[in-house]
Amino acid sequence: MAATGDRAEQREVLALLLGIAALVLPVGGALMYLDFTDSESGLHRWVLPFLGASNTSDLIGPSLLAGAIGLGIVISRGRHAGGTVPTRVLGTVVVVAALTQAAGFAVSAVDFVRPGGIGIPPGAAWATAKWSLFARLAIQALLCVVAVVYGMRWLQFDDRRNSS
Amino acid sequence: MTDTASLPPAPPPVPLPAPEVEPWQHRLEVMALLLVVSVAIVVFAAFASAHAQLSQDFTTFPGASQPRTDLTELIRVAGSSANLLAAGALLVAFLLVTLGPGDRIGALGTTVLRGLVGVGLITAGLAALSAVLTLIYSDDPGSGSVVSGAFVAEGLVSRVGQVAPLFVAAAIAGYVAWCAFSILGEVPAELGSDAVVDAEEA
Repeated sequence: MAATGDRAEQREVLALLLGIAALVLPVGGALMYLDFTDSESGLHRWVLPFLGASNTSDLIGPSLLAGAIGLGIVISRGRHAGGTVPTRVLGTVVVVAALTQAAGFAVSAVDFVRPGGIGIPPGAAWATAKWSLFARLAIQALLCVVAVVYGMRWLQFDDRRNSS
Repeated sequence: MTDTASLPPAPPPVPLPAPEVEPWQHRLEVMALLLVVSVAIVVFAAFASAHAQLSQDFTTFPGASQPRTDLTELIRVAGSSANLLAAGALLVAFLLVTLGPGDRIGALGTTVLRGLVGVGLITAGLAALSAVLTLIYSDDPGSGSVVSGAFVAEGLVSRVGQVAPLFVAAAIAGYVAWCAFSILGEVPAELGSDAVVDAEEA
């Protein structure tokens, strides 16, 4: 049915937009903090883009990521991502976005707990809160790593199907 | 081999009653309606919040700009609420209605789709306008944001990073509005119109 085909294409585009959003969000945050690195001196200023990436994609970033990969798998009916060009592009975008977010969350989590980290300003209140922040960022990084693994498997499943 | 000619004629088809909307489809449509209403409230509340914010004197940080309450600044500040969260909520509402377990979209779902067209267009327009205004905003030394407790002036790179998610949010909200509009326009039989179904059967 033509309408069904149109709807399938619309869902593919929507999933792709979700994936692009999951990628743009941390990259935009990293760009925003890049300006701050100009005025910041020290060896640890390379951490700031990761802090920006994790700050702007907090909670909503992994949600977009999970939504994109979930919708992609639903519209492909569990089949491989290489069946059509949009799903192949979607799988690639999801993997790249998940890698970007995972890097942002992981580096930020480590920076929060290491001595001399720049993510948490000095102070007793922040010192007690750093482990809860670490836990939050670490679980989000873990979610992004799982999204990377699932996205890679979704893409590589196509190669196995084609080779068999 | 079976002789088909000897088979008795098939009974005439019994007219089936009009199928009712799947209960879970209706419940999902209620959730979708609540999502659309919440996004509409957030967007309209953003204008009031932005107006209140801009009316106040917030020059506590050195170099911060003086209060500006013109329409351009109002849209720029209010548009930050039309972000990916609002666009994502509209997308979830659309998927709840169209990917529901029922074969037909109920009357409430039709209302949700109509609401998605309006709220989606408003959200997309607001996000896009805010992004453009933020991007072309003059290099006012007072414009900036607070990062880690320090006031940081915004450069071009920072503004690009700020508006990129807004452009994506505008694209998502606008496309959701277009999808809802296309479903409303092209498949009235799937929207639960019994008159259309009867006409097709006749």
